[in-house]
Amino acid sequence: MAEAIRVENVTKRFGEVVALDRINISFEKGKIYGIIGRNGSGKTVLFKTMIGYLKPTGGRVVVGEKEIGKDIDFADNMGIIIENPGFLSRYTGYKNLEYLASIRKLIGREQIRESMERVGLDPDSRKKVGKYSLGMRQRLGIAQAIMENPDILILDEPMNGLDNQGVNDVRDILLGLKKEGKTVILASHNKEDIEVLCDTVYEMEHGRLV
Amino acid sequence: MSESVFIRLFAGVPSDYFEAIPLIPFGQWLLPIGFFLLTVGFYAERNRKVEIFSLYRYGTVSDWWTKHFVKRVILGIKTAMLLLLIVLTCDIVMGKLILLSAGFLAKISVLWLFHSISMAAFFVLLDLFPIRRFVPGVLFLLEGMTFMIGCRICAVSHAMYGMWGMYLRSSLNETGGFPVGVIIVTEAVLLAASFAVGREYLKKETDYI
Repeated sequence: MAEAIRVENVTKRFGEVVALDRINISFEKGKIYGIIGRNGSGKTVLFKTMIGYLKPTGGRVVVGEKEIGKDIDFADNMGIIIENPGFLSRYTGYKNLEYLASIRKLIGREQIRESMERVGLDPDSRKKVGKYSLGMRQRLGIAQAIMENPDILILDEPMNGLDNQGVNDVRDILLGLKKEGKTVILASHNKEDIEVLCDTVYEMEHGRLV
Repeated sequence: MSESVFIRLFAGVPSDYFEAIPLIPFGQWLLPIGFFLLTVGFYAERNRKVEIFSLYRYGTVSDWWTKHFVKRVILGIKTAMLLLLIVLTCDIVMGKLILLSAGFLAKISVLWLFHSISMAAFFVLLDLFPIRRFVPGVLFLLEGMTFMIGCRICAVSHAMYGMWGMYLRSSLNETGGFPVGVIIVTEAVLLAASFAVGREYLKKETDYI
């Protein structure tokens, strides 16, 4: 099967601290991958490096045929959630997504509304994001990640703060995306999420794959 | 004329003070500058929250920088104009501006506006560096310190950034002062330089978020 992302011998250092130590992974199209590991094991650093937010100290990340940091700064076919989703708190959920969608200009109102409905949020709600619960913010984070129909999804703890219904909804969405041929790479502390969703699981410890 | 709030806040500190730092007119000058920096800082902080979701959507860092820089400078212009308008409206409502000509008010406004634009450009540039939380304070100090140096050392007063937005310290005023044309060009150069320095810095940067 074709590769979506290839991480080749990637090392990332912050001063003396080695956050990633010679990581080699290949992610194929149409599969769901799980990255597990304790806090500080390097999962988020790996994700940020794959997105292009951190440049590796050594090695390279290739998305499709293009090398991050050389051919492109950021992949144009990605959707992401990293850390706790941050939004403009005085805007509604819809307005936040509209603002983000206005950058790439790939989608219109309908797709924004659709992605919100898909995660169980009301696009017509006048509630400001500042009044959202953690679970609602997380749903909105997922909506922004999927709204432009990206080929690759990088999701760092996407189930954070979700209730049982929310977790089931997100699982269904991710399995649906897999059927559409999308590549999903997710980090989760929840073993059940990993078991139910992932085709392949990698574990990280002290910046290494174990 | 001196009763006009607009003049007191935006025309600058009169040059008829010797040796001592004119605290009250100086404080009045710094007041709208402080509001301006706080407003621009508030929006910078607000947009930073969503940067993790917005940055990668620009595709390239240089595209992000260009749009980010332009947006933030426009925000600075809007904020500066809003402050000018609010104070002008207050003066009109209180009947303090009846004797002043539109040309006179325009000269004050243009100088203040250009000064604000250069400050907004510095703000966006400094916001890239780890000192970002202190940027409003740093710029406020730059404004204050350079003005005080200009007051103390007459020979360098025309070259002091803190003087450049003040009508009363400019060649447009009857008492004379810094050459307005040169200063406006210099502030335009500072704007372009801020953009170029930011772009070069980002090329060498390894960690964006």
